[in-house]
Amino acid sequence: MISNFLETLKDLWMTSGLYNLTWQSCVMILISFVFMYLAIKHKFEPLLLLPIAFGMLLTNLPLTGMYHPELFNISGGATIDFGEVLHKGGLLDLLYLGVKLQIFPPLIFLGIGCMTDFGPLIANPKSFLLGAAAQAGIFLTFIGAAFLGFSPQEAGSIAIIGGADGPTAIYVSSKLLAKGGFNIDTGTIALAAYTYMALVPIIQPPIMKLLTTKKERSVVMSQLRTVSQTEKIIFPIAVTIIIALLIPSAAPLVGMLMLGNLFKESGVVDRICKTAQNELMNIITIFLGVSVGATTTADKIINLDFARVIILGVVAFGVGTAAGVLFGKLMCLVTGGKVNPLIGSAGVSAVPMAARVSQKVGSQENPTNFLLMHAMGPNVAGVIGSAVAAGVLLSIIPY
Amino acid sequence: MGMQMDIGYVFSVVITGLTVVFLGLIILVLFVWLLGKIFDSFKNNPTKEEKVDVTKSVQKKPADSPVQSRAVFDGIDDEIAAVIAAAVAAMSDGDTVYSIRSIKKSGRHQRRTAWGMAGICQNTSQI
Repeated sequence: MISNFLETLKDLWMTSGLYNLTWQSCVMILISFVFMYLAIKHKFEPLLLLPIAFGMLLTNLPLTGMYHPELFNISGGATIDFGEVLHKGGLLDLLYLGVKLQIFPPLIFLGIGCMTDFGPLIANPKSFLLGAAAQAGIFLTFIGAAFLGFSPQEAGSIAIIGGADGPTAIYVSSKLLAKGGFNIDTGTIALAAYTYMALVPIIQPPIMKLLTTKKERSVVMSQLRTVSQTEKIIFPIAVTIIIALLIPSAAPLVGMLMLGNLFKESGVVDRICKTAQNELMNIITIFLGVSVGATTTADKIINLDFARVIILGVVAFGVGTAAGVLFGKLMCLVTGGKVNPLIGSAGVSAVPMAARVSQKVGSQENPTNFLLMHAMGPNVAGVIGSAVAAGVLLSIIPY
Repeated sequence: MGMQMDIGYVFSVVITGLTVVFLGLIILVLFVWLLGKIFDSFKNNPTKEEKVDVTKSVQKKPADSPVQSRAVFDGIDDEIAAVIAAAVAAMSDGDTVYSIRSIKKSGRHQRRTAWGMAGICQNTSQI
């Protein structure tokens, strides 16, 4: 009887998390603590970074059975066995299907569309060009990733971090890396993307000040024209048609963004609009964050490729900011000093943080200079621009 | 770590990507600009019937009431209305004259405008 008891104890011990804990798991758990600290104490994009960090914790605690990477690690042209996922998968495996099947990011864009006012962009359509210029960060980072030896799919996934748009980064990387066999995955891309989005107020100002003169930063822009409600209703419909006809692969993101915006501007579907920007957005954010965090297993993070992703991510942000500011300088020159180049940096689609940074840097030169609404134009144009860039990457790169 | 991609392929992705993104957004710029022009022309050139209506109503006004257009302050304290008017006047560039036509209380669950979002962010986040 005693030997049976000891045998049972031994079995229990060998199936415990403590017995199966490796040094890699310990490192990952500590990293998850760091991200939780950044999210809670310093409020670094907490809505997504906190669930991502906790998902990282859950997946790296041994034998929890919540996430099984082997169900999704496919290669050689194989496809995911969804039946096996349903039978053998844990909670996070099932939630991750929303990422794998590209369901969650477009739904997040639906909520974002409900919360976005495209008025400043419609009032000053030149802002679209600043939104396009900032996407140069994506494509120039692609070059850097290629030189570091990443495959086209990995390079495209890393490059999209430069769009400063979390759902877009998750959408593109989940598609490009779907076939498996890569050194990086959606979780690493999402972690890098959301960390850098939170660092926008730190990364952008030095670049903006380096590339502009005091005189340029002091430019006061004229008041924006009033935009009619009819224009605001026509805008999302027209953008959807134009972009979908030009780049069909951008349709899921741009289409859902514009659907949400149409809900908002039509004024006749208030209940749906409120649900999309509140309850639906919050539910999807929880599912997306936790499931993406669960993919950040030790083998994906503790390697040189993740360090390269981190470096390329900051390069992507910096180049995007610089490209936006430089194009803003060009517009300032062409318009005879009517455009403040600082609003160019808001072309990265970190809404509304990038616009606030433009306002803050501008007000340091001239406290009465209200650039915020002018910067919102390129800021929301950047959301459309990054979705278009995502569509272009998905169209060009095979997956 | 050597390159897995041909350099020509890399630059073709970059150039194609930038071209298509700019092209797509330039088309949007032209469309929105055109839309703005069309709506501006409707505002600046009212139809004959509208012109006649305006004339008639202007002619009627002295007989009906000595007071011209009066802003509607729907349940708003006069002091609040004065503060709002002062804020609007402060934003004026001196050449443009604004007239307030109505001030209404917003609903409890009004959708947030960009200004509202910006204000919330300014007051709640730390930089």
